[in-house]
Amino acid sequence: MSSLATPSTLAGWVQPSHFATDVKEYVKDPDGAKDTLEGFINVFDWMSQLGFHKDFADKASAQLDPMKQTLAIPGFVAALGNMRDKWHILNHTDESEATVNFSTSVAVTTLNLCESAMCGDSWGVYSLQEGMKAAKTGFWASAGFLDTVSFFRELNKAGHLQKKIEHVPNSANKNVIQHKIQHCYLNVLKATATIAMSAIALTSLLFASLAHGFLFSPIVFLSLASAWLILTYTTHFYGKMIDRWEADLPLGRA
Amino acid sequence: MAVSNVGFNEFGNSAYTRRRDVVDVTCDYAGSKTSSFLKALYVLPGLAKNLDWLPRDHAGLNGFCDAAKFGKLSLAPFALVDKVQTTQSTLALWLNGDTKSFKMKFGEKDVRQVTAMDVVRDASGCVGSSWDITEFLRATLVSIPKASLRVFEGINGAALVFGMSCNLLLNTFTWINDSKYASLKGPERDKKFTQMTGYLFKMATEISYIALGVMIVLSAFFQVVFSPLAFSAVSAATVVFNILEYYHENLGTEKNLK
Repeated sequence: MSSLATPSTLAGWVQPSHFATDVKEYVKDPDGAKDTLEGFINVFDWMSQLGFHKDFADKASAQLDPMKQTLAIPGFVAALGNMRDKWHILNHTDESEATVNFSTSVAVTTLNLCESAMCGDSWGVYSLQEGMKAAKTGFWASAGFLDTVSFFRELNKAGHLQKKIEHVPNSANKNVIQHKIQHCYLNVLKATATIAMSAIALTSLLFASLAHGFLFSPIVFLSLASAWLILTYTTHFYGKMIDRWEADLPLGRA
Repeated sequence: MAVSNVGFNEFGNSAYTRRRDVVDVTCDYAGSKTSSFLKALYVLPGLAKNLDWLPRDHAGLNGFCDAAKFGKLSLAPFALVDKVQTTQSTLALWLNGDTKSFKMKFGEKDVRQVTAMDVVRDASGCVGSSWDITEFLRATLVSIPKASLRVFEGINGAALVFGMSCNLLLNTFTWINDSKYASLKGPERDKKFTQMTGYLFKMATEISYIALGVMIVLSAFFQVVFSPLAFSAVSAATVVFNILEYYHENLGTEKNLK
């Protein structure tokens, strides 16, 4: 008996799985690619922290970080376009969401601008010197703002879904909504990790000029960064799975 | 007194749609074609340096070009994941004798049976990404002498020539079929004419890539020496035609802002 007897069997074996396709879509997107690079940098940082091939890990992390920052340059240009779109909507509608959407697009643009500025410094295009503090502050303040907005949005969404689930009779649809609620809470956790990281970074920057400053153990920041990365990947792929389950529902969208 | 913004529509655009202008297309290009955008940032200054329009030893400029080059190379592993999966899907469809919806220009799709050439063409794309990964690793984490990669470089050039020749062949057929538009009148004729110009830009990009591939093959396998200016000029041609193609396709089209 041969498992490769028919072409269709071989085709089924060659065909990428749903998860593999999701991974492809994720890394194809510039933001996804950036987060994946961040994941590799994080692994090297942990290796360095734990003293496992420390020299190699330090070198790898130091070389990958400026490359990841370079991706902020096209990100900044794209964010400018998105900000312009949100400004257009803000000027043409009375929707309350339009103001929040515009503010978040400004924050994304600022974040990318600050990272691009740091990229220029890393590659020796110019020296930021004192400007580095401003760039880092802009970066972490924007990240903190974005995830504070996301924190409340996801909580609100979870509450809304919680109310909706009571009126859904079908158990399959109910199940999908329950997964959506869990997805919202995972997003809340992710936002909490970013808010914590930005709070630490901003506190360090604010008190950097003091004699003692505020010293945080690198392990704390590294752990938070790892938690954020794990939650970023989890929420993305969990969201994709929920989309597929929802598409397969016999009664349509949950 | 509260003044509503609803209906404030000075350019005939609705709240959620707008005609794409140069700024829109530039921003979209950076977002959707990140790799090409970064390539333009180091290839065009590279040509200017080879033409002595820009200084060759300016540390800041060289740092900027390196940043863009390595930023592009850092995307290579992800491009390989994409290309491998595209090849797998095409291969599975070919084995099953299925049809595939091939993405064409101007949002059009060509639904046709998958052929062996489609599989080989997609597979040739994997070689380019693998070469970029090697370059990326060589420049960062692993020390590999360039001389030992000479054969791989030549294979990369050959794969580029093959892949782009297949694309050129298919696009030439599309262009020939589309050129039979004498019976069309008015807006339909204008639309067809625009599409044909778009295909010409695409074909020009592909021809530049083929020229680049031939130069790589000749220099890797036959030790033909080309000046850095020649490589820069052909690379710049690929970038310029690619940008012109994108702007031509997207400028003035409707953008959905939602």
